[in-house]
Amino acid sequence: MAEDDEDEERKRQERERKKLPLIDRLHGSSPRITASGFEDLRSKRRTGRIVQLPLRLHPRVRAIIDIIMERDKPPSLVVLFEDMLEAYLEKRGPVDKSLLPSDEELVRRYEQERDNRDDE
Amino acid sequence: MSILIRLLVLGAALLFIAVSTGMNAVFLSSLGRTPLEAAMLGAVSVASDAAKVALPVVIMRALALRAWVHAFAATLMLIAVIGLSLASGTGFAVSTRSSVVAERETHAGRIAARERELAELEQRAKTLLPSRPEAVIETELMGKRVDRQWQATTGCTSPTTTAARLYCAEVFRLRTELETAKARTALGIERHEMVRSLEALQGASIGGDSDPQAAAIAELLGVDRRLPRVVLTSWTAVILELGSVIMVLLAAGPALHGWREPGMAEPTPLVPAELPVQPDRLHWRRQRKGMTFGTTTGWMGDHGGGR
Repeated sequence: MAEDDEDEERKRQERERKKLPLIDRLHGSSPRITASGFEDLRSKRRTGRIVQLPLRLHPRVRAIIDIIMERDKPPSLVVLFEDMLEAYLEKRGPVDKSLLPSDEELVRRYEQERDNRDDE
Repeated sequence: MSILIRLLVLGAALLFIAVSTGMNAVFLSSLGRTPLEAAMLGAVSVASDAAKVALPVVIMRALALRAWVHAFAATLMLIAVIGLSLASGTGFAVSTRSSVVAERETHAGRIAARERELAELEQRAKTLLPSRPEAVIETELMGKRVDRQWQATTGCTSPTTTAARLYCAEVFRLRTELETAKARTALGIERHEMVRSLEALQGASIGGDSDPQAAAIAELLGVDRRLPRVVLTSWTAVILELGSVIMVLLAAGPALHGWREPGMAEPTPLVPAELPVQPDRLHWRRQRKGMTFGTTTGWMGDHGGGR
């Protein structure tokens, strides 16, 4: 009986999530409404950058990155990385889009993993 | 099957190019007075043919790129080199065909002359009086020589009596018949040799007509045989030029490369994956001088992304 309720709740959550934009699903909630009744402006700055990519760098690489950050002043290291990735794709050739999972699939995987960890 | 067709078209194109280049170079270099001039003219011909092969593809690409000036210049050049190649090719084909036709005409002339000579011989044989074989006449003459009248007339040099004159008249008649028989024998030998010669010529005959193809077409169309001869000769050069231009174009074109056999799955075109649009990155790029704006497809754009 309890399992049925859990399944029912999970399906209800999935149905609710389906109504949300993918970016909000990634961040786990719809934009917050403040006490004044307006949409929280911070929720408009959502970028979808939620996946971690741990790196261990050589000190000289790190030093070069620091100089670039100082010289060109990219908004963040992530922006610099994205710019470098785009330049790489232009130089070495694009990646076929069909090889990537769809955005829906990527979000679904993320949600599933998050739910699993929450259950634990 | 598709590969076979491609190979055939490519092979035909290469053959056309090779033959056209060779023909034109041989003909054009034959116009040089010295070896250097011949080599220079040959080089011009080869360069012209190389340009002729490449220019159609260049024209198509220039048209696709809307490079009108390049397309016009390439077309002009192509017309010029085709004109040169066509003239050279026609010259080569005409000289080749003419020499073959001339050889056949000479051969036919020889046969006709032999036939005339044979007819004359037979005419001469008809004018000779009938005679018996030489051996028969000579035997009869020998018989006459043992006659008493032969000695009495000193070999028919001085017949005095009526009987001697009659005898000598008979001897002279026999001598005349002998000469006639000898002449007939000589004519027979000559005729035999001539018949053998004629048979040999007819056996080695290249054809009944000097240009049977042109003769047949002329007869079919009811025109003078020189017209089909000229058209046929030029047609070879025209086919060569068209072949070396159009077949190259076909070999390089989409009609062969873009074709897929019915039932074969169409290969999925590569769609490049693009990075999600991020406002901060766009803003930073706009700030940098000389940078073009990147791709702006919206990752999750359909779902409210790209805020």
